[in-house]
Amino acid sequence: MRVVIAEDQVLLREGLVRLFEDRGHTVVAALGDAAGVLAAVGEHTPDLVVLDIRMPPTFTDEGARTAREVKDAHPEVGVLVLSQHVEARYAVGLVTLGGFGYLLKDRVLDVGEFLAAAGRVAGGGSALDPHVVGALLAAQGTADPVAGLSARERDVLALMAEGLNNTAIARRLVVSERTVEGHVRHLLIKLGLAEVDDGHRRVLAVLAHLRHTALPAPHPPVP
Amino acid sequence: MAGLDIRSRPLAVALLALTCAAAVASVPLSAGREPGIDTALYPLNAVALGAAGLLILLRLPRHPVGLLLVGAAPVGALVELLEGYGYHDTWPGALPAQWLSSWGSLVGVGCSTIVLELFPDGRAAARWWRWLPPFTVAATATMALGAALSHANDSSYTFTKGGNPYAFDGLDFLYAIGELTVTASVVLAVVSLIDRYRRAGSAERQQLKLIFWFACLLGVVGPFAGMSYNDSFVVQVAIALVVPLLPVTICVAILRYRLYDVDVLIARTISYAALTVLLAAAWGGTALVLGAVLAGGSAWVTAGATIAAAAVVLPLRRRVQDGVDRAFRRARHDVLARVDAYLEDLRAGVASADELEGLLRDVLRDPDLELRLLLPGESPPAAAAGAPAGGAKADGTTIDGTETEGTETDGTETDGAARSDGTDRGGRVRTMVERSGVPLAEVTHAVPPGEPLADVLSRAGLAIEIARLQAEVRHRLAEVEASRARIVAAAHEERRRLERDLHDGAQQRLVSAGLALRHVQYQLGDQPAAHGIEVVVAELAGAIKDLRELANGVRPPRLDDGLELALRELAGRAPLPVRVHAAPGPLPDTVVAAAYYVAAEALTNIVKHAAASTVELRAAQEDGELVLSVRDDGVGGAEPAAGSGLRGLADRVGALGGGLRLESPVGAGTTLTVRLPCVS
Repeated sequence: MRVVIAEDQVLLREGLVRLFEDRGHTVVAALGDAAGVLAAVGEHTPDLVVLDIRMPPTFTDEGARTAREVKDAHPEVGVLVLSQHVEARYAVGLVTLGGFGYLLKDRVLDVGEFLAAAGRVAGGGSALDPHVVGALLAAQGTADPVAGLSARERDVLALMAEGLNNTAIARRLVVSERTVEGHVRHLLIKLGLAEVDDGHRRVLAVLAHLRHTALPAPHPPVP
Repeated sequence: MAGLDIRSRPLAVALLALTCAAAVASVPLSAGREPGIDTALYPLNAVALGAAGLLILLRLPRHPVGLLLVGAAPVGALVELLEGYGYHDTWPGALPAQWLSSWGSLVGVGCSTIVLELFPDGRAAARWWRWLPPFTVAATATMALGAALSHANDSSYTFTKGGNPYAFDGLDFLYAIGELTVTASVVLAVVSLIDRYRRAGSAERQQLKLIFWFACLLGVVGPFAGMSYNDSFVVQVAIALVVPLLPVTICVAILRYRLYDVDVLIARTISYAALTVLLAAAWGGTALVLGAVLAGGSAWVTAGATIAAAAVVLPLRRRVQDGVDRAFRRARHDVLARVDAYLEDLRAGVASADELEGLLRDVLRDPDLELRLLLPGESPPAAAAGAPAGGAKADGTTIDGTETEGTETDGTETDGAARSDGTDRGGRVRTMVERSGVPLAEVTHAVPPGEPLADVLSRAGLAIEIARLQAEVRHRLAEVEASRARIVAAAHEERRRLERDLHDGAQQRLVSAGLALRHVQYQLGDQPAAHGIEVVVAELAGAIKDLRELANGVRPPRLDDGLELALRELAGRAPLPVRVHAAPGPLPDTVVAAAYYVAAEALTNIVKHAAASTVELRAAQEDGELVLSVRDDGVGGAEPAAGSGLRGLADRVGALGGGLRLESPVGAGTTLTVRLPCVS
């Protein structure tokens, strides 16, 4: 994988660079802020851009805005946004795009999972942090249709939204794959969605549904 | 003497000097040959006439009354001198001197009458009164002629040679006619004064009132004189003091000196006279009764009577003053009664201190009057002008050339004080209201600083103090509220910063450390130490998770996502179904945080106590307020005071200027409603 990294904290940036390079990936650019990201992407045509959501100069949503710009200019490039905590309002507009991921920073410590997620995003798939999915689902509240789901079906839905396929979900929940398939079928029926096999499109369908039924457009922040 | 024309000041001064010389010379000539009081009184009166006339002429040259007084004075003094000379019947020309003084004194009577007819402006009271002064001159001349040329006056003047030496028989009728017409003149002069008062403007009325005051004074002293003029030295002195007061009064009135204090003067005179009579009655009555009971113990009688008189003096004074005010100073009485009524209402909490300025404007008839309350620490601009150390005294100030000396205010009811400190551009006066030396308020007004302003301000002193206290309390409260809001905002900001620091500082460094360890682990390959590193990284991940929870507790970062998302997230985590109806729109940060914490606390309470099956969470903006309500279908009966959590929330809401309401009927669920102003 050819990777562009934008992270303002030097130690973290170097750690990420080594993380990718130790596993044989190529970091073509490691930047300290969001300003040069678009240019670097144009220059290096990477497979993946890893962005910290808060960066200079305002430390609010530079990463999120840059992610949007990169996706607009280069839809084929995967964008993985890292955040210290869930900021649902930034995720909302991006989750329905292909090749997008939103993970909490400490996920990088679980190197295998992190690189798998990065690979999914680079390949046009999704990688949403369980916290992000949780926030999206919680924000959706008890309003229909998620209210009708059982606890287990919700767990499965969350894992689907993370971008996992049935096999991975079965492994995570320590159940058989057939059980997962049953849950998926039920919850998709309950949500009124056509059953699809492709993992990414499945996530998109779920998230798009959630977004349209539950999530309002974020308000501009009030000073 | 009405025709005497003095066209120059030196002549007036010369005439006064002549008056003084004649008056002084008359004293040794008369001493011992008539009642001593006569010897002193008449020359003194002549000098007073002359001095008053001169003072008037100095300010108002050619004022007819001034001219009249200056002209009458030497005549009066010379008559005294001739009378004194006449007592020495062995001296040459004693008889002509007696003759001249026997009718010359009538000139004074005529002059005084004409002065009353022309007072205070030197013109007749009205067009149809213009014949009165010439009529008086003619009447006086007739009477004087009758006195000079007949025996008619022999009864009231003692000639050494048994009657008027220059009398002609058959001319008595002249004296009779003169006496009648002069009496008529005096009566008509009084009538014309009353008529003049009826049609006069306010300033002229004040002038005229001074004359009435003199009449009051005469009314008090006169009866005593009638009873015991020749027996009582005290009464003689009183008469000697009062009679020369007429020219002084006229002078004061014409020069308009402290014109507006005349009402006080009159009322005081009457009330003190009445008080004197009542006290004398009380003393005498007690003495009589005690004397009858304790036969012979005169010292005890005196003491008892004195104590009785002293005991009634204060309540009596108040009553008498009030009654006199009611009768003679109706306007003042009404005004002060309104101030008193307002004060009563203010104490009872019926009236508001804000109405004070309106009341002052109303009673003082000054629609532009301004009352500026001076809060402690707020120094009045005029305070440096040297406040008198306490006391109820209004300093004078000059407005538009009119002398408006302050008046002594009624300082007994309150110890309020009013000082006029100067004028501003519009000819308006600033008066400082003080109490025990503390400046309370500054009143800017167009009315003159004397009566009734000083009186009203003095009476309203307590009301002003109450108004000031209320203003101070309001001011302090606003300060406290502002500082409470600032504290909440600061705490909010502090939490935000702390959360930021935890996330971007400690948490990031732990992640960096973890990544570094992972790198080392990678380099170590399969060595046993690599497994140790695995444990450490897991530990680090746990620490990061803990830190996130901690930061979340300090300030949930989801608040950045807006109230609606935060509430939905909150509802989603609740262990019972929570319906959210929220579309509050953009809100200030502190309001979002307060609403979020209220909702969180309410949900916690519901889970703990309400045994509810569903909860409804609503948030919407109404009229610039965020209205948040949390309703459950539980057991109800919640006590607002019970939960300290709710108490803290009420404080937080209050600090933002909002309110919190709890409705919790037993068995019918609980509704918590919070209103938060959204304008920051």
